[in-house]
Amino acid sequence: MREAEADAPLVAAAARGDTVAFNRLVLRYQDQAYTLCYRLTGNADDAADATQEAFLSAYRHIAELRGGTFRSWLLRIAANCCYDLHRQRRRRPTDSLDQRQVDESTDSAPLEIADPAIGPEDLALRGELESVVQASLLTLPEDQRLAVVLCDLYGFDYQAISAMTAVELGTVKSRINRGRRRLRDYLLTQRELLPSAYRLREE
Amino acid sequence: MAVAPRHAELNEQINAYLDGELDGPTRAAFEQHLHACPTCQVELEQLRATRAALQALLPLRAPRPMTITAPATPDAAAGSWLARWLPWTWRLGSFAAAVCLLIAVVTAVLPARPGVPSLASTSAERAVAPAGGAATQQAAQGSGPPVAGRQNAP
Repeated sequence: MREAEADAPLVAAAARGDTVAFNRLVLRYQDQAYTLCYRLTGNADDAADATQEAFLSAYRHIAELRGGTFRSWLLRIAANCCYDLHRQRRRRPTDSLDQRQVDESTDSAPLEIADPAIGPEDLALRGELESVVQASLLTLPEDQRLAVVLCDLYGFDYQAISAMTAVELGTVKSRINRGRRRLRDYLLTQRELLPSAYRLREE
Repeated sequence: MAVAPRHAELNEQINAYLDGELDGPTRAAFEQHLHACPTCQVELEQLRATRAALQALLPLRAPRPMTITAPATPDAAAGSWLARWLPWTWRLGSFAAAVCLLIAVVTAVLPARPGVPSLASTSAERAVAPAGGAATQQAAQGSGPPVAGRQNAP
């Protein structure tokens, strides 16, 4: 795996306390980590906080990274940071409420990475798709959401997801099966809101 | 191989089939069933569309650089602890030296004034004072000459 080979010297240097090397890894993966956190939390501020926390935690524990790629290891940490944040918010519900109010007032929608191949009309369609599909993800239980996101957005196979989330292969299979069916059910109820190219057929 | 229980069993494999995660024999069995089962055919298309919608989500950009600054490890934290306290020990040392010097000056100067009760009344104490003063002058670095002149003035 070429990506892992390119990361290896930086990971080794970072494990010796080289923050410059570590920050090169940060710049290489910050968008991927942030995207995962946003897909899991659906909130731009929470996603940014969780991403920052994930990199701090990764730096503290980088000497423990053996086998596997930095990317998959980091994404697992990022997912855990999202769960921790969620638990904190649940313990202090007033914080969460304040957060939502701030969010609505500042309209902190996530910034998509521009694809020059996408024209303005297509971009508008993408916007509609984005809000409906993101909302559908938030209807899933956490474990199903993570499995589906790692599979469909990051292209990990079941074996890799099993290793990343430390659960049996059969559990991954079942989470993706139940998760994707649930998303399908939700998207069927929202089909009018989906761009025609992504509209689910009922029969 | 009964057909009815096969549907429920094979339908459970539908997403794994979509993801290419079934082994050869299971995949062959699923495909055979799919060919004859309109329910599974519709469902497969819906799940394929669901996956396509997810895959169409664009990657996002982190709203700010997530780079870190140095002291995040316990080792680095220990280093910064030392770095924080070392200047204080130096300052404390300098402060102690300055206090010693002040005491030395006061004890040396006071007996010279007539009518003022002396703190360093014996000659032995007076003899010690300038010596202590000289030692603290070195430690205090640079506050030497003027103080020495006043000591010698009377």
